[in-house]
Amino acid sequence: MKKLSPLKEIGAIPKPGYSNPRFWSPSKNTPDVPQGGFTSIIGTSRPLDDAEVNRVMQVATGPKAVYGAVGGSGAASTDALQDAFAQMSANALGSAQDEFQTKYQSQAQKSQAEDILGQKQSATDRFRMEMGVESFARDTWQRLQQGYKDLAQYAIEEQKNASARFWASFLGSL
Amino acid sequence: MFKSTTVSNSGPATDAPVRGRYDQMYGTTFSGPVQKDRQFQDAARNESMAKAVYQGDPRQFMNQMGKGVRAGGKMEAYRAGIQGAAQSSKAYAQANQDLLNRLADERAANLQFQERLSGERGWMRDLQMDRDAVNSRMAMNAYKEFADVELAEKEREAKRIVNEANRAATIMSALF
Repeated sequence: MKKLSPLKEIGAIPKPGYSNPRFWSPSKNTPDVPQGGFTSIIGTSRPLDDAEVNRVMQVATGPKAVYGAVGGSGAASTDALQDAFAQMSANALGSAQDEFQTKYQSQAQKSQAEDILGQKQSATDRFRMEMGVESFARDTWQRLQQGYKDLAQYAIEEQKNASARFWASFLGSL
Repeated sequence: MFKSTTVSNSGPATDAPVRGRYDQMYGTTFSGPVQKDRQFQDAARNESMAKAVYQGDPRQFMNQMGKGVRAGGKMEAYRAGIQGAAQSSKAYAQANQDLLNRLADERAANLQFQERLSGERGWMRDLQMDRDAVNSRMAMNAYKEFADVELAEKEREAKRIVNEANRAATIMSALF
């Protein structure tokens, strides 16, 4: 009695992301990346340049007292007071702009990362969709081919059966 | 079926692939950063500078105890000078604070615009992805339908062939 020939050993499934000549391989194994890589419209550079920082911190000294204090009694301490005010203000403004710049940059970096992450997510979604379509197309194509071969074999075998029945009948009648 | 003649920019007018083609449906809407009125801000700063100069003038803090322009004692002049310097310094600091506020507001508005535009682009990408996913499913359905119909047709054909052979065998058997 004839038996089916043994199955080919299917072996291990291809390692994900790698092609294996024994099996059908998808057209790509990684999402498409735009030319030049992912970019964001969100800039992360410091928002104020040095000239602007200097302008902010350069607090003008008030006008000198017009009477008495100029070269007169207490002039030195008045001048010192004015300088102290100006320096204190410059220092406070310097701290304020530095805090603003720092917060701005950390926020911008976070937003930029989210922007690029979103683009990568989209690229991966598209990759998943394209691979799904490709896989489905391959399945369908294979189903059609194998189904056709089944039918072709069925038609031939059944014709042979019919022929055998005729010859059996014919020979039996002799 | 007929083709709509309505002018629409929300879909392809032909069967040409739409990828990479500008389509208003997926365009963004933010036009630019929303900024405060710069002229108003500059005016506020100028105002602060003017106040600084004015408030720095110590004469306004001096009581006119004596006669003439140089009325008043030295101690009073010193006190007035201190007061003037204090007022003036505050106003100068305020003027520079105004400048910092303006610059910070501008930059913050720019960042906010960039973030919002980026966010909208993300949503638009999602929408395009949805559209493409629907189109993919339609393509898959069409592909599957072709295979199903073709296979069914071949199945009917095979049965016709087999039945024909069976009928021929039956007839031939009867003849011989």
